[in-house]
Amino acid sequence: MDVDKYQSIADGIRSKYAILEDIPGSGFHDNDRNHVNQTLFTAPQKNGLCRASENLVYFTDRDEEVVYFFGSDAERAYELILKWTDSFKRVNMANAPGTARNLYLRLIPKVSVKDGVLAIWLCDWNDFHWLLVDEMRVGMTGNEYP
Amino acid sequence: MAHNKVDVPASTVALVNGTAKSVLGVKAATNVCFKLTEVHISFDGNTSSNAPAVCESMQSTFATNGPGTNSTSVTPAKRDTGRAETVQATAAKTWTTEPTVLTLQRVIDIGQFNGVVINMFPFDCPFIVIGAQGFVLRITSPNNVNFSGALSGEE
Repeated sequence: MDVDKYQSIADGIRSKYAILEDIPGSGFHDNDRNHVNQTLFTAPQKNGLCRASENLVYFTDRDEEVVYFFGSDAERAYELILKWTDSFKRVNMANAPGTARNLYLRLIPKVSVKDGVLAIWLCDWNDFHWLLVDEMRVGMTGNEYP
Repeated sequence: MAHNKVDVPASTVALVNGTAKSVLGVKAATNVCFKLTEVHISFDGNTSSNAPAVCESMQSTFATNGPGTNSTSVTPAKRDTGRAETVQATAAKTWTTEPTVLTLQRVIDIGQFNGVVINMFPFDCPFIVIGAQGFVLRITSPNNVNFSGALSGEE
């Protein structure tokens, strides 16, 4: 797998968002507000997520049914997964929600970063998506693979 | 185990006047069909004289721009949080580039001023999304308003 190629695509996507964050009215600028309800901000960083220019970028392989993170995205995603795991160390997993139980006991032990790639089966993806976006509050941008 | 009920919510999706926008969509996993049972649509328009929004229920092959690509991915929320099975279908909201290929199935005009529709498919007539394909709710609003709503279903 060409990790460098996909890492550069991910970096390119983040660079595009960095440009948009400097343009008022793009929806990503700090001061952009909802055009109907002016009390609401539109940028992710004003809504509890990270800046879009700091998003994790994942690649979905619909044929092989795998979601990939490459290079620094893989390292960062795995770090967040482990950080989430740490927060459950003192929790009685018998009482945890089904998704947390599934992640902690079955799915997370199966994943790791190998050669700069973090691969997650598409059938397990929604649980990891919940962990990263809903629990760890990280923004994510998807892309197709290859 | 079947009957894993889920909701796919989206709140305050901005619609720009006259532009068709796919606001919510779900793609069934390969070989696992998704049974869509409800579509919730509401708007926050505050001008009573505005023309209604055209809300289209579409089938989608997701040949391009599947959930997550050029859209904001959404975790389908399980109704029964005790269940450990992972939801197989993937979902997203707010497409910036429209998905393809879309086939119109149903259409309804809904008022933007306090317009609310909860379309509950009859028990014996759900909207079946076949494996690897999807359902998309596309809205064309003549005015700048926000959409909030959800898709509900089970797999």
